[in-house]
Amino acid sequence: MTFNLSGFDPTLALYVWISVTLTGLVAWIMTRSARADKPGVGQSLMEMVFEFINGLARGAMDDNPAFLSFLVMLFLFLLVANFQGMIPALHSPTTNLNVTAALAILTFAMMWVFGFKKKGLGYFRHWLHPGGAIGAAMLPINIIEDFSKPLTLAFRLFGNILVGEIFMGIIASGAAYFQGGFALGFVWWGFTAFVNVVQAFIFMILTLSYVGQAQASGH
Amino acid sequence: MHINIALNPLDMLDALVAVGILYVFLQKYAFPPLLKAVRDRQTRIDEELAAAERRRQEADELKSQLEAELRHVKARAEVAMNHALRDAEDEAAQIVVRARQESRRLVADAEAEIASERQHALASVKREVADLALGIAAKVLGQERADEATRRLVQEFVDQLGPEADGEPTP
Repeated sequence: MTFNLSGFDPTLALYVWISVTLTGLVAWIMTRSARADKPGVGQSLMEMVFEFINGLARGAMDDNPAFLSFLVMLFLFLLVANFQGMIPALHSPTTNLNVTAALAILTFAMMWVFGFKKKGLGYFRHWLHPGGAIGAAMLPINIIEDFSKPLTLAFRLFGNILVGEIFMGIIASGAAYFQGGFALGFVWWGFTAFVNVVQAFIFMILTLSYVGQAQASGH
Repeated sequence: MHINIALNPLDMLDALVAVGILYVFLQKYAFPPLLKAVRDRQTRIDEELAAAERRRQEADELKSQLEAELRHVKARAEVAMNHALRDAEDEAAQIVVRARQESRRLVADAEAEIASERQHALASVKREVADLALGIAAKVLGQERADEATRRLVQEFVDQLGPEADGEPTP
């Protein structure tokens, strides 16, 4: 792993902006003519997503419509970004660590902002958990645990989507050369689609969980 | 496929800016109509629930009102029925009294008529007896007709016959 300040990747930027544009466009098309009496299929799907995430958020943290919108946006973006790799000639931006790391840093920043907003400097008291001499001894471990959250978030998403895409590429390129290659490709395609949804959900739910923990009184 | 795990702040910044813009776009154009539709639906549901609750209360009030009216009507009907029953009983008693009076009157009239007929028959019998006695007396005396003195004598005798002599039953 290197840290490169000069090498801006325009291809990655293109993939990111394709994902963003697709997400925005699809969400806009699904909701632009939303109506209360007869919701269409798109509106119903979006309402289901909102209701589902709202239900999760209600049990995890204080009511915050802006953060709920952020979670929905994050889930939709990751869903589109993950599935983008399944379109021929395109790659998923989440197969690049810079994108997943940026999102993880965003989550980490939100965790701190929400925790600090709720508890002030008392937020950092959880570093001394469970208190006393043991708490003092646990201080480095608790700090490492805090900072490991964005790392695990970034690497989990990056690794899962990247592996899915690599295998898809391998199977696609070799399918014609061995018996059952297309069937295996189809099965792997289905599995990758499942992983894409699950990973988008995991990233979103962990973001909610970390922010909720930061706001929780016992944290 | 090129696997790059080099961290590049510019790439990360680009991703953050893109996501930020997506968030602003969705917050401005995609989510508001959806949330408004959900709010409107919730408002409509709340209104319909409130209306249903109002209608239920009105129905309850109407039911109580109707029950009270029914109770009142029942009470009035009972009073009217009791009144009618009393009237009917009074009327029946009056009819019985009138019938008794009528029957008594009819019996009295019949008795009076019988007595009158009896008197009339008695008088007729007395006349017949007197005539018969006079005829017998005239035969005995060898006269065609009894004279006036004999006639008066016989008539006085017959008139003096009392109830005992008339065959009136002794009470």
